[in-house]
Amino acid sequence: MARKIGATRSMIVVAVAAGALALAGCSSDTDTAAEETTSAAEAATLAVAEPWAKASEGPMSATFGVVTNDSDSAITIVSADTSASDRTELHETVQSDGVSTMREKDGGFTIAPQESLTLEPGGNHIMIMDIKEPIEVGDDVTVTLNLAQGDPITFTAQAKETAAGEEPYDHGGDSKDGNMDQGNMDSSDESMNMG
Amino acid sequence: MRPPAVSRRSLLLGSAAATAAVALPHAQPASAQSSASASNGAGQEAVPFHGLHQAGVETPLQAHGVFIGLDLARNVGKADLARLMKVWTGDAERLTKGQPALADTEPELAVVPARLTATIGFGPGVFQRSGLRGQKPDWLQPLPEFAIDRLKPEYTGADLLLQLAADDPITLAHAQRMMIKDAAGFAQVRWAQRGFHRAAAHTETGATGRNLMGQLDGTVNPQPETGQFDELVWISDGAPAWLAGGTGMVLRRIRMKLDDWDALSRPEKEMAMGRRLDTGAPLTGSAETDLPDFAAKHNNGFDVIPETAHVRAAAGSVNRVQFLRRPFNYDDGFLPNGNPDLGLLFAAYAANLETQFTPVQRRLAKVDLLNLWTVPIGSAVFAIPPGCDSGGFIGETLLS
Ligand code: HEM
Ligand SMILES: [Cu+2]
Repeated sequence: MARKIGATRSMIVVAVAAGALALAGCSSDTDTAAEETTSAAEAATLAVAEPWAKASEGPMSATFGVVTNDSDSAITIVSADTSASDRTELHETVQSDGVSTMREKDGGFTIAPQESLTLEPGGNHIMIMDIKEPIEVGDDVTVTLNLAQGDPITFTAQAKETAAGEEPYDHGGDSKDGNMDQGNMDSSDESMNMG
Repeated sequence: MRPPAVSRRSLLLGSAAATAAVALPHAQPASAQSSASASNGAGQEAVPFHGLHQAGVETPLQAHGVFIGLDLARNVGKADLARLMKVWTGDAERLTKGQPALADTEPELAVVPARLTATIGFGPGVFQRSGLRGQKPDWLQPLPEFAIDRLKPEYTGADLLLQLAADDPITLAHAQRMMIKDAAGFAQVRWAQRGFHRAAAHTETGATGRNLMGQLDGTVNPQPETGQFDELVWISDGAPAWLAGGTGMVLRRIRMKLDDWDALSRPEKEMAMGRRLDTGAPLTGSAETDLPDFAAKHNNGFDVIPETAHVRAAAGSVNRVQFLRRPFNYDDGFLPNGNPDLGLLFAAYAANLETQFTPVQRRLAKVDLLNLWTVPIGSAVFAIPPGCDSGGFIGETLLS
């Protein structure tokens, strides 16, 4: 299944890249934020709306959504855990020389009071590394955000296929790039496909 | 540090585009968009997706509809189908509320719910998959062949049905785009049949629609939320059990030979139907809802409503409502011979297609005068599973 989906995906990526780039998943909806969050603690002050994860055969995936801070003080997400792997990083995407590159976000994501953070393909995201088994379309990934202030919050992200977000990973040049999507083995495409 | 790899996308778009993409402000919250984009409030009506039954059956007709038939990929089994149903359910939950789907690439198109409904059906092919054999209702099989049929494979049969309808064509196109995109790898579209009624603003919600022959079409129908509707349409006993709260559906694509039909006089057209064109009243009555009197005769002894009239042939000796008809009109341009390519996407819903629908179709195929001007060119049958609650998914009674 997943392999087949991957193949389809790589065929359409060229056609939809332009449209997907600017808009993918970047709308937020504070109205529904509360009901979509399964809060680990009463005191939790972050709400997550529109959570989803990128379907992937491995080794990497990413999870997205709109995280809103309804409290009166800044809250920092310092790390994340997911049910899909034992290794998760908080990533940002940066531009240099016209190339988008993603890298670990120093100090985590700080969300000002009454502001929200959009996690989206091609932008900030939670990187899921070394996934244990393929994340297939429709699977649920449980995601926990660990906060500098207060208890962690946990939510469920449904896995969906996406053509958006193919940033190379600037990981300091110490390890070898792989291609996380086996369906996307186009030799002319050297980027990792990580959301 | 090795030099950053150049992605296909950057090559495609150039550096300016890549930078601009990130600099773009994020989309407004969906709620803000909704109020901004629909100043007169039209289009903001939403049909609840959750419930005992799927929406889109009892729902008053929307202005636009599309019936999409898909075939499952060869390797799709029960668990895969469940995953597709979870994703489709998530899409439908959001889109019917006027919210973007998850990973929606065009969220601006989602903000007008316009009574969008998404109705999912399972064709006979679903039950050839491992884990699902033996779950097929007996009546779920291709209709018998009728002498009038000129079925084309491109409109006939499918493993899955996705029936979408809304009062706004952009809402509909967007829902179709998202949900078909999300089916990639699971299923491939075999056909998509688009249909329409009058614009929502130009008709009363729930009023009988007109077909492209000009007739009021849908008069004799069970009324939503009545015991009669429950009995005729919704499966209660559940044979098989997973279908309790669901229904059966027939889609027939019926071409109208309007050039020939228009050669008839108005009285001839009304005789062929047994009802008046203007009011939709039976030829034996004066109002649309009057019961036809098939025994009534002219002074010369001829039947007022001939035996060959469509409504008389359809009613048979039963002469009471037998199932739900919820058709859409289609108009797809012109045939090579210059005739218009238009007709009816005849959609009927019944708890048991074999006992309720097929006898009517059999009678009509034999005696209906309307057959001279109509040709069935597509046919498909589906089991429509029950609805689901928040947290559940369509098909869960079969697939979980
Ligand atoms: C292009 C094809 C068709 C056209 C234009 C058409 C049109 C109509 C119209 C105008 C009526 C009268 C108003 C009403 O009760 O809705 C009617 C009634 C009806 N039609 Fe059709 N129809 C078509 C095909 C079919 C088919 C394929 C079936 C079923 C196999 C069917 C079954 C019925 C039934 C059961 C009634 C109600 C009869 C009664 O009890 O009075 N129709 N149709
Ligand atoms: Cu990343």
